Amino acid sequence: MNDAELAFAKRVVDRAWADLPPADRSLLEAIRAEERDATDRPLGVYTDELRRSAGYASFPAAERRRQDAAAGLWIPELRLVLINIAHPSFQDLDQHSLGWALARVAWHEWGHALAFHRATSEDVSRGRELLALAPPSMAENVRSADYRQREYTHEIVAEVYALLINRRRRGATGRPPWLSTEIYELVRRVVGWNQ
Amino acid sequence: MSLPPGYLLPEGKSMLDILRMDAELLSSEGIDPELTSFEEPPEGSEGDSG
Repeated sequence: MNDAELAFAKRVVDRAWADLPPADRSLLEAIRAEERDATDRPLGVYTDELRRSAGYASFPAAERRRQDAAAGLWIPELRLVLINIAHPSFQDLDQHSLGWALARVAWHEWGHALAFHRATSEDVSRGRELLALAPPSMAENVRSADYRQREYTHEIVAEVYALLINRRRRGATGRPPWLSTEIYELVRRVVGWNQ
Repeated sequence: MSLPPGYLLPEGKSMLDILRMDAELLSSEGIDPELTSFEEPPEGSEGDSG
């Protein structure tokens, strides 16, 4: 990973931040969650260093390995969104696709940052039910990635949020026809989506 | 509550597959999913000022 590629990724993540609705940016700033960065290091290793330097204990090795496999990560304790531009899933993309891919992961992680503390335990327990209501391609991706059932709700919300930002950037607002009313209302409630 | 696990992809899938999924959903509602240069602000964007 050379400096130019890393600089490109940082610019894209900043651009992706600017695409968030002003109210979402304001909320993230209010909770001091506007920090973002791109790195070329595995996120489990890198995050562990950042957390320990801030006085937090390390996660178990299994969890760090799982984070190493992630393309992006929201770190609540540090109020930080991190993207790993060296992640294999970003390889072999042309420049335009890479920009959108990096932004998509950043939007997904900001979806977590906005929703994480507002999703109730009941919302979390409905993960499998919500997965059945999600667009089939999205449901299949969440189901077949290394997520646990108790994470399904958070992942659906973050995926939908990323797509809503993408639509908004293209001038579309409101509930997409491919999204169930139930999931849309959940996103409105836990993310505060009102576009 | 545990930490979100980060953005994980199914084994064997890349972000290109995810972008294709997005494009199919957008196309299904008549939105042009073309991937223009991401760094250029979208037309009519509120940009950083909002």
